[in-house]
Amino acid sequence: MDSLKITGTSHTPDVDFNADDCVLSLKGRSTPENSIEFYRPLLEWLDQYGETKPTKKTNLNIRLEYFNTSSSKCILDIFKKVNGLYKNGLEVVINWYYEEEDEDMEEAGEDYSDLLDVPFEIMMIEED
Amino acid sequence: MAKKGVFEKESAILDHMQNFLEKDDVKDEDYKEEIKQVSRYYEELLDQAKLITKVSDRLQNKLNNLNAKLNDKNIELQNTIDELTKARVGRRATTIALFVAVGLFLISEGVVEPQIESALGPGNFGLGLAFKGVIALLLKPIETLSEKLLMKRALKEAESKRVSDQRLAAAS
Repeated sequence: MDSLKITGTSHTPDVDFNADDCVLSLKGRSTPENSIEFYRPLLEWLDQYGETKPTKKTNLNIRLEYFNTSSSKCILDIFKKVNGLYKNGLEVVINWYYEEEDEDMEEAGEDYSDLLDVPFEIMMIEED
Repeated sequence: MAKKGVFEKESAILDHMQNFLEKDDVKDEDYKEEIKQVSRYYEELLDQAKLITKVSDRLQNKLNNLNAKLNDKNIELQNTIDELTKARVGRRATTIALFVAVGLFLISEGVVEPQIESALGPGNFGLGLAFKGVIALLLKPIETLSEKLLMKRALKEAESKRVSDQRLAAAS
């Protein structure tokens, strides 16, 4: 299966969904004008990824600095999809990274975690 | 579908429900099954609403904090600009005072002292010296006065610039 790579901009995050390594990363700022247009390919990719029945543990790494309200809904859709894969027996973990002192992002991770069954790790990154 | 934005899946579910309600020959079991689904979707939607509300409040909070920081920085910047303006005006006022003093000194040497000498005769150094002393004493008040006038003008210029910037911002 092909990997999905989208280079980030000032409004959209970097996407690197690597099917071979089973590492899916989303990094940066997410404030696109049309969130669903940006996130739809990611959701479709996840559907196909689930069908390949990966044997390795899948890591979904989220490291966002900021996201707008509509992105929060799309991110939840991604998590629900990953949650579905987990319920179907796939080994999955969501790693939610937040920068030191960014309590808002830490709490956002906790809010997402409350809605999901999939293992959800919230990890702090120390500022450079 | 595309126009429904991030809620396209939820809109599709609503369409499905509305179509279901329009059906006439529906069995009780089908109703039960459909209500079960509605309840599941409702739960999902409630979770989303809770999450989006929290995220939105947090974003607002973040923006408020950033605005507060920006205001503090603006005040800091304004204070620095004021200090710089004060320093610049002070330098100009000193220059003006020096030029006036040089002018007065030249007048004293070239006009006043020869007048004293011709009127009172030579040897009246004391009077010439006193006149120079007056010039020296005048230096500080001249500097203060110039500083006040220049500061008034600088503030007026800054205010008119602020007003025109505001007009430009409003127009754009």
